[in-house]
Amino acid sequence: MPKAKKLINDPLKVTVEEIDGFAKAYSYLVRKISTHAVARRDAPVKGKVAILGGGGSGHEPAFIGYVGYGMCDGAVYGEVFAAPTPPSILEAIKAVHGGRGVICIYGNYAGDNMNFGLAAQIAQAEGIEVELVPYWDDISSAPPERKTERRGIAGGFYVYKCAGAAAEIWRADLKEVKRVAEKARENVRSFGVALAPGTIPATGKPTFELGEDEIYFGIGAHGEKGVLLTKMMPADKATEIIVNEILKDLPLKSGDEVNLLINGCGSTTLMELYIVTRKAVEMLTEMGIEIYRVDVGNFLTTQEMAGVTISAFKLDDELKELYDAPAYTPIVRICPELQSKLGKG
Amino acid sequence: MPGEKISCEKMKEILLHVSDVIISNEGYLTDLDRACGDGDFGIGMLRGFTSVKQQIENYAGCDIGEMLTKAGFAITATVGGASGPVFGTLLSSAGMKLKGKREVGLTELAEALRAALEMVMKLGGAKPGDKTMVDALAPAVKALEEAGKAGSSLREAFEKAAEAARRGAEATKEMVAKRGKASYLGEKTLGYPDPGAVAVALIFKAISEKI
Repeated sequence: MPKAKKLINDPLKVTVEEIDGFAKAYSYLVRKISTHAVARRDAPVKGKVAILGGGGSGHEPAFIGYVGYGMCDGAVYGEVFAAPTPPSILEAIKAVHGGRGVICIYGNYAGDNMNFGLAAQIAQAEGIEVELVPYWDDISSAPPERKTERRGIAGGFYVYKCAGAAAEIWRADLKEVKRVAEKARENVRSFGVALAPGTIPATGKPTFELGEDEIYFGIGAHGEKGVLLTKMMPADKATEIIVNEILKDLPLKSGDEVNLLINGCGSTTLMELYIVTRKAVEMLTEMGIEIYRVDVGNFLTTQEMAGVTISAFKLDDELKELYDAPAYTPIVRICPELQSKLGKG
Repeated sequence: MPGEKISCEKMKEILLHVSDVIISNEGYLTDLDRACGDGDFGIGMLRGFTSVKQQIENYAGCDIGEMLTKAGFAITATVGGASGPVFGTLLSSAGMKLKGKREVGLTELAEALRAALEMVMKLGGAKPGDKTMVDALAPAVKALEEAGKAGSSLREAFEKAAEAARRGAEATKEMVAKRGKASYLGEKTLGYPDPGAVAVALIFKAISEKI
Protein backbone atom coordinates (compact mmCIF):
# COMPACT_ATOMS: atom_id res chain seq x y z
CA MET A 1 0.00 0.00 0.00
CA PRO A 2 1.56 3.38 -0.96
CA LYS A 3 1.98 5.92 1.82
CA ALA A 4 -0.49 8.80 1.76
CA LYS A 5 1.00 12.02 0.37
CA LYS A 6 1.33 14.64 3.06
CA LEU A 7 3.08 17.97 2.96
CA ILE A 8 5.14 17.52 6.10
CA ASN A 9 8.82 17.50 7.12
CA ASP A 10 9.29 14.85 9.77
CA PRO A 11 6.30 12.60 10.60
CA LEU A 12 7.38 12.58 14.24
CA LYS A 13 7.35 16.38 14.45
CA VAL A 14 3.99 17.21 12.84
CA THR A 15 2.39 18.29 16.11
CA VAL A 16 5.15 20.60 17.34
CA GLU A 17 5.59 22.15 13.90
CA GLU A 18 1.88 22.86 13.46
CA ILE A 19 1.65 24.42 16.93
CA ASP A 20 4.54 26.63 15.93
CA GLY A 21 2.90 27.69 12.67
CA PHE A 22 -0.50 28.21 14.28
CA ALA A 23 0.99 30.46 16.97
CA LYS A 24 2.80 32.45 14.29
CA ALA A 25 -0.36 32.88 12.21
CA TYR A 26 -2.55 34.00 15.09
CA SER A 27 0.02 35.82 17.21
CA TYR A 28 -2.52 38.63 17.71
CA LEU A 29 -4.87 36.15 19.45
CA VAL A 30 -2.83 33.33 20.94
CA ARG A 31 0.64 32.45 22.15
CA LYS A 32 2.52 29.20 22.41
CA ILE A 33 2.92 28.00 25.99
CA SER A 34 4.77 24.77 25.23
CA THR A 35 5.63 22.56 22.26
CA HIS A 36 2.12 21.08 22.48
CA ALA A 37 -0.10 23.88 23.79
CA VAL A 38 -1.37 27.37 23.08
CA ALA A 39 -3.20 29.90 25.25
CA ARG A 40 -5.06 33.08 24.49
CA ARG A 41 -2.63 35.94 24.27
CA ASP A 42 -3.71 37.59 27.53
CA ALA A 43 -3.78 34.37 29.61
CA PRO A 44 -4.03 33.96 32.50
CA VAL A 45 -7.10 36.19 32.73
CA LYS A 46 -7.34 37.30 36.35
CA GLY A 47 -10.66 36.66 38.05
CA LYS A 48 -12.03 34.42 35.32
CA VAL A 49 -12.57 30.67 35.38
CA ALA A 50 -10.22 29.25 32.74
CA ILE A 51 -11.40 26.78 30.10
CA LEU A 52 -8.80 24.29 28.89
CA GLY A 53 -9.62 22.17 25.85
CA GLY A 54 -7.55 19.42 24.38
CA GLY A 55 -7.04 15.97 22.97
CA GLY A 56 -4.98 14.34 20.27
CA SER A 57 -3.71 16.46 17.39
CA GLY A 58 -4.80 15.59 13.87
CA HIS A 59 -8.36 16.92 14.39
CA GLU A 60 -7.71 20.53 13.33
CA PRO A 61 -9.12 23.08 13.80
CA ALA A 62 -10.13 21.38 17.08
CA PHE A 63 -8.98 22.26 19.65
CA ILE A 64 -6.50 25.07 19.06
CA GLY A 65 -8.97 26.91 16.79
CA TYR A 66 -11.30 27.35 19.78
CA VAL A 67 -8.77 29.39 21.77
CA GLY A 68 -9.48 33.08 22.17
CA TYR A 69 -12.01 35.46 23.64
CA GLY A 70 -15.23 33.89 24.92
CA MET A 71 -14.27 30.26 24.38
CA CYS A 72 -11.12 28.39 25.47
CA ASP A 73 -8.28 29.97 27.40
CA GLY A 74 -5.95 27.27 26.19
CA ALA A 75 -5.73 24.02 24.26
CA VAL A 76 -3.28 21.19 24.77
CA TYR A 77 -2.39 18.51 22.24
CA GLY A 78 -1.01 15.03 22.39
CA GLU A 79 0.48 13.46 19.30
CA VAL A 80 -1.82 12.63 16.39
CA PHE A 81 -4.99 10.97 17.78
CA ALA A 82 -3.35 10.39 21.17
CA ALA A 83 -4.31 12.11 24.42
CA PRO A 84 -1.96 14.83 25.69
CA THR A 85 0.59 13.71 28.28
CA PRO A 86 -0.08 14.53 31.96
CA PRO A 87 2.96 16.86 32.17
CA SER A 88 1.76 18.87 29.12
CA ILE A 89 -1.74 19.17 30.61
CA LEU A 90 -0.38 20.27 33.98
CA GLU A 91 1.77 22.93 32.35
CA ALA A 92 -1.25 24.22 30.40
CA ILE A 93 -3.47 24.26 33.51
CA LYS A 94 -0.89 26.43 35.26
CA ALA A 95 -0.52 28.74 32.27
CA VAL A 96 -4.25 29.52 32.00
CA HIS A 97 -5.18 29.58 35.70
CA GLY A 98 -6.41 33.06 36.57
CA GLY A 99 -7.17 32.42 40.22
CA ARG A 100 -10.73 31.07 39.99
CA GLY A 101 -10.06 27.52 38.89
CA VAL A 102 -9.69 25.65 35.63
CA ILE A 103 -12.25 23.50 33.85
CA CYS A 104 -10.87 20.89 31.45
CA ILE A 105 -13.24 19.97 28.63
CA TYR A 106 -12.32 17.06 26.34
CA GLY A 107 -13.77 14.15 24.40
CA ASN A 108 -14.59 11.04 26.42
CA TYR A 109 -11.70 8.66 25.64
CA ALA A 110 -9.73 6.38 27.99
CA GLY A 111 -6.42 8.19 27.46
CA ASP A 112 -7.89 11.69 27.86
CA ASN A 113 -9.81 10.70 30.99
CA MET A 114 -6.69 9.14 32.48
CA ASN A 115 -4.27 11.93 31.61
CA PHE A 116 -6.52 14.92 32.41
CA GLY A 117 -7.40 13.08 35.65
CA LEU A 118 -3.74 12.60 36.58
CA ALA A 119 -2.85 16.20 35.76
CA ALA A 120 -5.88 17.51 37.69
CA GLN A 121 -4.82 15.55 40.78
CA ILE A 122 -1.37 17.08 40.72
CA ALA A 123 -2.73 20.59 40.07
CA GLN A 124 -5.17 20.23 42.98
CA ALA A 125 -2.35 19.11 45.25
CA GLU A 126 -0.58 22.33 44.28
CA GLY A 127 -3.65 24.40 45.17
CA ILE A 128 -5.38 24.92 41.80
CA GLU A 129 -9.06 24.00 41.67
CA VAL A 130 -9.74 21.84 38.61
CA GLU A 131 -12.98 20.39 37.25
CA LEU A 132 -13.24 17.84 34.45
CA VAL A 133 -16.03 17.69 31.87
CA PRO A 134 -15.61 14.96 29.26
CA TYR A 135 -18.25 15.22 26.52
CA TRP A 136 -19.97 12.24 24.88
CA ASP A 137 -22.08 13.32 21.93
CA ASP A 138 -21.42 10.42 19.50
CA ILE A 139 -24.63 8.38 19.67
CA SER A 140 -23.23 5.58 17.51
CA SER A 141 -20.68 4.53 20.12
CA ALA A 142 -22.99 3.23 22.90
CA PRO A 143 -26.74 3.06 23.67
CA PRO A 144 -28.38 5.90 25.67
CA GLU A 145 -28.35 3.94 28.94
CA ARG A 146 -24.55 3.78 28.68
CA LYS A 147 -24.06 7.37 27.49
CA THR A 148 -20.97 7.88 29.69
CA GLU A 149 -19.20 5.34 27.46
CA ARG A 150 -19.90 7.37 24.34
CA ARG A 151 -17.11 9.09 22.44
CA GLY A 152 -16.81 12.82 22.15
CA ILE A 153 -16.79 14.27 18.62
CA ALA A 154 -17.66 17.52 16.83
CA GLY A 155 -20.66 18.37 19.06
CA GLY A 156 -18.18 19.26 21.81
CA PHE A 157 -17.97 22.60 20.01
CA TYR A 158 -21.18 23.72 21.75
CA VAL A 159 -19.86 22.64 25.14
CA TYR A 160 -16.76 24.82 24.66
CA LYS A 161 -18.84 27.72 23.34
CA CYS A 162 -21.38 27.77 26.19
CA ALA A 163 -18.88 27.12 28.99
CA GLY A 164 -16.57 29.73 27.49
CA ALA A 165 -19.35 32.32 27.41
CA ALA A 166 -20.41 31.61 31.00
CA ALA A 167 -16.83 32.14 32.15
CA GLU A 168 -16.15 35.18 29.96
CA ILE A 169 -19.39 37.14 29.89
CA TRP A 170 -21.07 36.09 33.13
CA ARG A 171 -17.79 35.74 35.05
CA ALA A 172 -19.50 32.72 36.58
CA ASP A 173 -17.69 30.68 39.23
CA LEU A 174 -16.20 27.23 38.66
CA LYS A 175 -19.29 25.37 39.86
CA GLU A 176 -21.58 27.39 37.61
CA VAL A 177 -19.35 27.03 34.53
CA LYS A 178 -19.27 23.30 35.14
CA ARG A 179 -23.07 23.22 35.38
CA VAL A 180 -23.33 25.05 32.06
CA ALA A 181 -20.79 22.76 30.38
CA GLU A 182 -22.66 19.68 31.55
CA LYS A 183 -25.98 21.13 30.50
CA ALA A 184 -24.64 21.85 27.01
CA ARG A 185 -23.22 18.33 26.86
CA GLU A 186 -26.58 16.78 27.74
CA ASN A 187 -28.29 18.75 24.95
CA VAL A 188 -26.05 17.78 22.04
CA ARG A 189 -26.05 14.60 19.92
CA SER A 190 -23.90 13.73 16.92
CA PHE A 191 -23.85 11.06 14.25
CA GLY A 192 -21.83 10.76 11.07
CA VAL A 193 -20.83 8.90 7.96
CA ALA A 194 -17.44 8.26 6.37
CA LEU A 195 -16.71 7.87 2.65
CA ALA A 196 -12.96 7.30 2.84
CA PRO A 197 -10.39 6.94 5.65
CA GLY A 198 -7.78 9.38 6.93
CA THR A 199 -4.18 8.39 7.59
CA ILE A 200 -1.85 8.95 10.54
CA PRO A 201 1.20 10.90 9.28
CA ALA A 202 3.68 8.78 11.23
CA THR A 203 2.55 5.49 9.69
CA GLY A 204 1.09 6.73 6.38
CA LYS A 205 -1.54 4.03 6.70
CA PRO A 206 -5.33 4.51 6.64
CA THR A 207 -7.15 4.06 9.96
CA PHE A 208 -9.67 1.73 8.29
CA GLU A 209 -10.45 0.29 4.88
CA LEU A 210 -13.53 0.92 2.78
CA GLY A 211 -14.53 -0.32 -0.67
CA GLU A 212 -14.85 2.10 -3.62
CA ASP A 213 -18.65 1.89 -3.53
CA GLU A 214 -19.12 1.70 0.25
CA ILE A 215 -19.91 4.20 2.98
CA TYR A 216 -19.81 3.66 6.70
CA PHE A 217 -22.24 5.21 9.21
CA GLY A 218 -21.25 5.77 12.81
CA ILE A 219 -17.51 5.68 12.30
CA GLY A 220 -15.46 7.38 15.04
CA ALA A 221 -13.15 10.37 14.86
CA HIS A 222 -10.13 8.05 14.88
CA GLY A 223 -11.57 5.60 12.38
CA GLU A 224 -13.15 3.39 15.05
CA LYS A 225 -15.39 0.95 13.26
CA GLY A 226 -18.95 2.14 12.61
CA VAL A 227 -22.42 0.68 12.92
CA LEU A 228 -23.71 0.44 9.35
CA LEU A 229 -21.54 -0.42 6.36
CA THR A 230 -23.51 0.00 3.18
CA LYS A 231 -23.44 0.91 -0.53
CA MET A 232 -22.74 4.46 -1.65
CA MET A 233 -25.91 6.60 -1.78
CA PRO A 234 -26.99 10.16 -2.63
CA ALA A 235 -26.47 12.95 -0.08
CA ASP A 236 -30.18 13.31 0.72
CA LYS A 237 -30.54 9.64 1.59
CA ALA A 238 -27.40 9.65 3.79
CA THR A 239 -28.58 12.84 5.51
CA GLU A 240 -31.96 11.25 6.17
CA ILE A 241 -30.31 8.27 7.88
CA ILE A 242 -28.14 10.54 10.04
CA VAL A 243 -30.93 12.91 11.06
CA ASN A 244 -33.28 10.03 11.86
CA GLU A 245 -30.65 8.39 14.09
CA ILE A 246 -30.21 11.67 15.96
CA LEU A 247 -33.98 12.09 16.36
CA LYS A 248 -34.22 8.62 17.90
CA ASP A 249 -31.78 9.70 20.59
CA LEU A 250 -32.81 13.33 21.04
CA PRO A 251 -36.57 13.42 20.73
CA LEU A 252 -37.53 16.80 19.27
CA LYS A 253 -41.06 18.06 18.87
CA SER A 254 -42.69 20.80 16.91
CA GLY A 255 -41.75 24.17 18.39
CA ASP A 256 -38.37 23.01 19.78
CA GLU A 257 -35.40 25.09 18.80
CA VAL A 258 -32.01 23.69 17.74
CA ASN A 259 -28.64 24.59 16.31
CA LEU A 260 -27.11 22.28 13.73
CA LEU A 261 -23.42 21.67 13.29
CA ILE A 262 -22.61 20.24 9.87
CA ASN A 263 -19.02 19.16 10.30
CA GLY A 264 -16.61 18.08 7.58
CA CYS A 265 -14.26 15.25 8.55
CA GLY A 266 -11.26 16.54 6.58
CA SER A 267 -11.47 16.15 2.82
CA THR A 268 -15.18 16.64 2.27
CA THR A 269 -15.89 19.82 0.32
CA LEU A 270 -17.99 22.69 1.59
CA MET A 271 -20.13 22.10 -1.48
CA GLU A 272 -21.05 18.67 -0.14
CA LEU A 273 -21.58 20.05 3.36
CA TYR A 274 -24.04 22.67 2.07
CA ILE A 275 -25.93 19.98 0.15
CA VAL A 276 -26.19 17.96 3.36
CA THR A 277 -27.21 21.11 5.25
CA ARG A 278 -30.04 21.75 2.78
CA LYS A 279 -31.62 18.37 3.41
CA ALA A 280 -31.10 18.37 7.19
CA VAL A 281 -32.70 21.80 7.55
CA GLU A 282 -35.60 20.79 5.29
CA MET A 283 -36.30 17.63 7.31
CA LEU A 284 -36.37 19.38 10.67
CA THR A 285 -38.31 22.38 9.38
CA GLU A 286 -40.98 20.04 8.02
CA MET A 287 -41.36 18.61 11.52
CA GLY A 288 -41.97 22.10 12.87
CA ILE A 289 -38.59 22.32 14.57
CA GLU A 290 -37.06 25.79 14.60
CA ILE A 291 -33.51 25.94 13.31
CA TYR A 292 -31.82 28.80 15.16
CA ARG A 293 -28.28 28.69 13.70
CA VAL A 294 -26.39 26.30 11.44
CA ASP A 295 -22.62 26.08 11.77
CA VAL A 296 -21.13 24.54 8.62
CA GLY A 297 -17.47 23.69 8.07
CA ASN A 298 -14.54 21.79 9.51
CA PHE A 299 -14.76 21.83 13.29
CA LEU A 300 -13.31 18.42 14.18
CA THR A 301 -11.55 16.48 11.45
CA THR A 302 -9.80 13.11 11.15
CA GLN A 303 -6.90 14.07 8.91
CA GLU A 304 -8.06 13.62 5.28
CA MET A 305 -11.01 11.39 6.14
CA ALA A 306 -13.95 12.04 3.83
CA GLY A 307 -17.23 12.27 5.63
CA VAL A 308 -19.65 14.41 7.56
CA THR A 309 -21.01 14.46 11.08
CA ILE A 310 -24.20 16.24 12.04
CA SER A 311 -24.74 17.51 15.57
CA ALA A 312 -28.06 18.77 16.89
CA PHE A 313 -27.94 21.11 19.88
CA LYS A 314 -31.24 21.61 21.66
CA LEU A 315 -31.60 25.16 22.89
CA ASP A 316 -33.38 26.93 25.69
CA ASP A 317 -33.13 30.64 26.57
CA GLU A 318 -29.99 30.16 28.62
CA LEU A 319 -28.09 28.10 26.02
CA LYS A 320 -29.19 30.49 23.29
CA GLU A 321 -27.85 33.45 25.22
CA LEU A 322 -24.53 31.65 25.76
CA TYR A 323 -24.26 30.60 22.12
CA ASP A 324 -24.95 34.17 21.00
CA ALA A 325 -22.43 35.70 23.41
CA PRO A 326 -19.45 37.37 21.71
CA ALA A 327 -16.50 35.16 20.82
CA TYR A 328 -13.33 35.82 18.88
CA THR A 329 -10.98 32.94 18.07
CA PRO A 330 -9.15 31.88 14.92
CA ILE A 331 -12.25 30.03 13.69
CA VAL A 332 -15.17 31.26 15.77
CA ARG A 333 -16.20 34.86 15.37
CA ILE A 334 -19.53 35.77 16.88
CA CYS A 335 -20.35 39.43 17.15
CA PRO A 336 -23.96 40.21 18.13
CA GLU A 337 -23.57 43.93 17.45
CA LEU A 338 -22.42 43.49 13.87
CA GLN A 339 -25.02 40.83 13.33
CA SER A 340 -27.82 43.14 14.45
CA LYS A 341 -26.76 45.65 11.77
CA LEU A 342 -27.79 43.06 9.18
CA GLY A 343 -31.28 42.82 10.58
CA LYS A 344 -33.29 40.19 12.42
CA GLY A 345 -33.07 36.47 11.90
CA MET B 1 19.84 -19.70 42.20
CA PRO B 2 18.98 -17.88 45.43
CA GLY B 3 21.16 -14.92 46.29
CA GLU B 4 21.82 -14.11 42.61
CA LYS B 5 21.73 -10.33 41.97
CA ILE B 6 21.91 -8.00 39.03
CA SER B 7 23.84 -4.76 39.11
CA CYS B 8 22.76 -1.34 37.91
CA GLU B 9 25.11 -1.71 34.93
CA LYS B 10 23.44 -4.99 34.00
CA MET B 11 19.99 -3.43 34.38
CA LYS B 12 21.08 -0.67 32.04
CA GLU B 13 22.14 -3.22 29.44
CA ILE B 14 18.80 -5.05 29.80
CA LEU B 15 16.74 -1.89 29.41
CA LEU B 16 18.68 -0.80 26.34
CA HIS B 17 18.04 -4.18 24.76
CA VAL B 18 14.32 -4.01 25.68
CA SER B 19 14.15 -0.56 24.06
CA ASP B 20 15.84 -1.78 20.88
CA VAL B 21 13.45 -4.73 20.62
CA ILE B 22 10.37 -2.52 21.02
CA ILE B 23 11.70 0.07 18.58
CA SER B 24 12.42 -2.59 15.95
CA ASN B 25 8.88 -3.94 16.33
CA GLU B 26 7.21 -0.59 15.58
CA GLY B 27 5.76 -1.77 12.27
CA TYR B 28 4.41 -5.00 13.75
CA LEU B 29 2.75 -3.21 16.68
CA THR B 30 1.29 -0.61 14.31
CA ASP B 31 -0.28 -3.33 12.18
CA LEU B 32 -1.78 -5.03 15.23
CA ASP B 33 -3.20 -1.72 16.43
CA ARG B 34 -4.74 -0.98 13.05
CA ALA B 35 -6.69 -4.23 13.37
CA CYS B 36 -7.61 -3.64 16.98
CA GLY B 37 -7.36 0.09 17.73
CA ASP B 38 -6.55 3.29 15.87
CA GLY B 39 -3.07 2.49 14.58
CA ASP B 40 -0.87 4.78 16.65
CA PHE B 41 0.41 2.32 19.25
CA GLY B 42 3.60 1.28 17.43
CA ILE B 43 4.65 4.84 16.82
CA GLY B 44 3.89 5.76 20.44
CA MET B 45 6.07 2.90 21.68
CA LEU B 46 8.81 3.94 19.25
CA ARG B 47 8.70 7.45 20.66
CA GLY B 48 8.54 6.24 24.27
CA PHE B 49 11.36 3.74 24.12
CA THR B 50 13.56 6.10 22.14
CA SER B 51 13.29 8.48 25.09
CA VAL B 52 13.89 5.60 27.52
CA LYS B 53 17.15 4.86 25.68
CA GLN B 54 18.21 8.48 26.00
CA GLN B 55 17.39 8.51 29.72
CA ILE B 56 19.27 5.28 30.37
CA GLU B 57 22.30 6.20 28.28
CA ASN B 58 22.60 9.50 30.13
CA TYR B 59 21.99 8.04 33.56
CA ALA B 60 25.19 8.42 35.55
CA GLY B 61 24.01 7.19 38.96
CA CYS B 62 23.86 3.65 40.33
CA ASP B 63 20.34 3.52 41.83
CA ILE B 64 18.29 0.96 39.91
CA GLY B 65 15.02 2.33 41.30
CA GLU B 66 15.80 5.90 40.29
CA MET B 67 16.85 4.81 36.80
CA LEU B 68 13.61 2.87 36.23
CA THR B 69 11.49 5.71 37.60
CA LYS B 70 13.14 8.19 35.25
CA ALA B 71 12.67 5.82 32.33
CA GLY B 72 8.96 5.49 33.21
CA PHE B 73 8.46 9.24 33.47
CA ALA B 74 10.16 9.62 30.10
CA ILE B 75 7.50 7.37 28.53
CA THR B 76 4.61 9.15 30.27
CA ALA B 77 5.97 12.52 29.17
CA THR B 78 6.50 11.63 25.51
CA VAL B 79 3.81 9.16 24.50
CA GLY B 80 0.43 10.43 25.68
CA GLY B 81 -2.68 8.48 24.76
CA ALA B 82 -3.62 5.81 27.28
CA SER B 83 -0.57 3.70 26.47
CA GLY B 84 1.96 6.36 27.57
CA PRO B 85 0.82 6.58 31.18
CA VAL B 86 0.16 2.82 31.36
CA PHE B 87 3.59 1.73 30.10
CA GLY B 88 5.25 4.65 31.87
CA THR B 89 3.59 3.69 35.15
CA LEU B 90 4.71 0.10 34.70
CA LEU B 91 8.36 1.21 34.78
CA SER B 92 8.05 4.09 37.24
CA SER B 93 6.06 2.15 39.87
CA ALA B 94 8.54 -0.73 39.68
CA GLY B 95 11.27 1.90 40.04
CA MET B 96 9.69 3.48 43.11
CA LYS B 97 9.54 0.09 44.76
CA LEU B 98 13.27 -0.44 44.07
CA LYS B 99 14.33 3.03 45.22
CA GLY B 100 17.89 3.16 46.55
CA LYS B 101 18.85 -0.35 45.37
CA ARG B 102 22.28 -0.74 43.76
CA GLU B 103 21.56 -4.38 42.97
CA VAL B 104 18.40 -6.48 42.94
CA GLY B 105 17.47 -10.16 43.14
CA LEU B 106 14.54 -12.17 41.83
CA THR B 107 12.31 -11.70 44.89
CA GLU B 108 12.72 -7.92 44.79
CA LEU B 109 12.08 -7.78 41.05
CA ALA B 110 8.95 -9.90 41.40
CA GLU B 111 7.69 -7.66 44.22
CA ALA B 112 8.39 -4.53 42.21
CA LEU B 113 6.57 -5.88 39.17
CA ARG B 114 3.63 -6.97 41.34
CA ALA B 115 3.37 -3.40 42.64
CA ALA B 116 3.62 -2.10 39.07
CA LEU B 117 0.86 -4.46 37.88
CA GLU B 118 -1.43 -3.28 40.68
CA MET B 119 -0.76 0.38 39.88
CA VAL B 120 -1.38 -0.13 36.16
CA MET B 121 -4.69 -1.89 36.90
CA LYS B 122 -5.73 0.91 39.24
CA LEU B 123 -4.79 3.62 36.75
CA GLY B 124 -6.40 2.14 33.68
CA GLY B 125 -9.25 0.32 35.42
CA ALA B 126 -8.47 -2.87 33.48
CA LYS B 127 -9.03 -6.35 34.88
CA PRO B 128 -7.67 -9.65 33.54
CA GLY B 129 -9.85 -10.68 30.59
CA ASP B 130 -10.45 -7.12 29.32
CA LYS B 131 -8.01 -7.68 26.43
CA THR B 132 -5.28 -5.33 27.60
CA MET B 133 -1.60 -5.48 28.51
CA VAL B 134 -2.72 -6.74 31.96
CA ASP B 135 -3.49 -10.12 30.34
CA ALA B 136 0.21 -10.60 29.57
CA LEU B 137 1.62 -8.80 32.61
CA ALA B 138 -0.40 -10.63 35.29
CA PRO B 139 0.67 -14.18 34.27
CA ALA B 140 4.29 -13.01 33.82
CA VAL B 141 4.40 -11.59 37.36
CA LYS B 142 2.80 -14.77 38.70
CA ALA B 143 5.42 -16.89 36.90
CA LEU B 144 8.22 -14.80 38.44
CA GLU B 145 6.79 -15.21 41.92
CA GLU B 146 6.46 -18.97 41.49
CA ALA B 147 9.98 -19.25 40.10
CA GLY B 148 11.20 -17.27 43.12
CA LYS B 149 9.56 -19.73 45.52
CA ALA B 150 11.01 -22.66 43.58
CA GLY B 151 14.51 -21.20 43.88
CA SER B 152 15.04 -20.74 40.11
CA SER B 153 17.85 -18.70 38.62
CA LEU B 154 17.07 -15.23 37.27
CA ARG B 155 17.38 -16.48 33.70
CA GLU B 156 15.04 -19.46 34.28
CA ALA B 157 12.56 -17.21 36.07
CA PHE B 158 12.44 -14.64 33.26
CA GLU B 159 12.27 -17.35 30.60
CA LYS B 160 9.18 -18.68 32.38
CA ALA B 161 7.77 -15.18 32.72
CA ALA B 162 8.39 -14.50 29.02
CA GLU B 163 6.59 -17.72 28.08
CA ALA B 164 3.68 -16.85 30.41
CA ALA B 165 3.45 -13.36 28.87
CA ARG B 166 3.55 -14.81 25.35
CA ARG B 167 0.71 -17.20 26.16
CA GLY B 168 -1.17 -14.39 27.88
CA ALA B 169 -0.85 -12.19 24.80
CA GLU B 170 -1.87 -15.07 22.55
CA ALA B 171 -4.97 -15.66 24.70
CA THR B 172 -6.13 -12.08 24.11
CA LYS B 173 -7.06 -13.21 20.57
CA GLU B 174 -10.08 -14.93 22.11
CA MET B 175 -11.11 -11.86 24.11
CA VAL B 176 -13.37 -8.94 23.32
CA ALA B 177 -11.79 -5.55 24.09
CA LYS B 178 -13.38 -3.73 27.03
CA ARG B 179 -11.03 -0.78 27.57
CA GLY B 180 -9.61 2.03 25.46
CA LYS B 181 -10.29 2.79 21.81
CA ALA B 182 -10.25 -0.92 20.95
CA SER B 183 -13.39 -1.35 23.08
CA TYR B 184 -15.46 0.51 20.45
CA LEU B 185 -14.69 -2.32 18.06
CA GLY B 186 -16.17 -4.86 20.49
CA GLU B 187 -16.55 -8.29 18.90
CA LYS B 188 -14.58 -7.14 15.86
CA THR B 189 -11.42 -7.42 17.98
CA LEU B 190 -11.90 -11.21 18.22
CA GLY B 191 -9.11 -13.07 16.47
CA TYR B 192 -6.54 -10.29 16.93
CA PRO B 193 -4.16 -10.10 19.89
CA ASP B 194 -4.08 -6.93 21.97
CA PRO B 195 -1.05 -4.85 20.89
CA GLY B 196 -0.31 -3.79 24.50
CA ALA B 197 -0.22 -7.42 25.63
CA VAL B 198 2.06 -8.28 22.71
CA ALA B 199 4.39 -5.43 23.69
CA VAL B 200 4.56 -6.77 27.26
CA ALA B 201 5.44 -10.23 25.88
CA LEU B 202 8.19 -8.65 23.75
CA ILE B 203 9.54 -6.83 26.80
CA PHE B 204 9.74 -10.00 28.92
CA LYS B 205 11.32 -11.95 26.06
CA ALA B 206 13.93 -9.23 25.65
CA ILE B 207 14.69 -9.29 29.39
CA SER B 208 15.09 -13.06 29.36
CA GLU B 209 17.59 -12.81 26.49
CA LYS B 210 19.88 -10.44 28.39
CA ILE B 211 19.52 -11.36 32.05
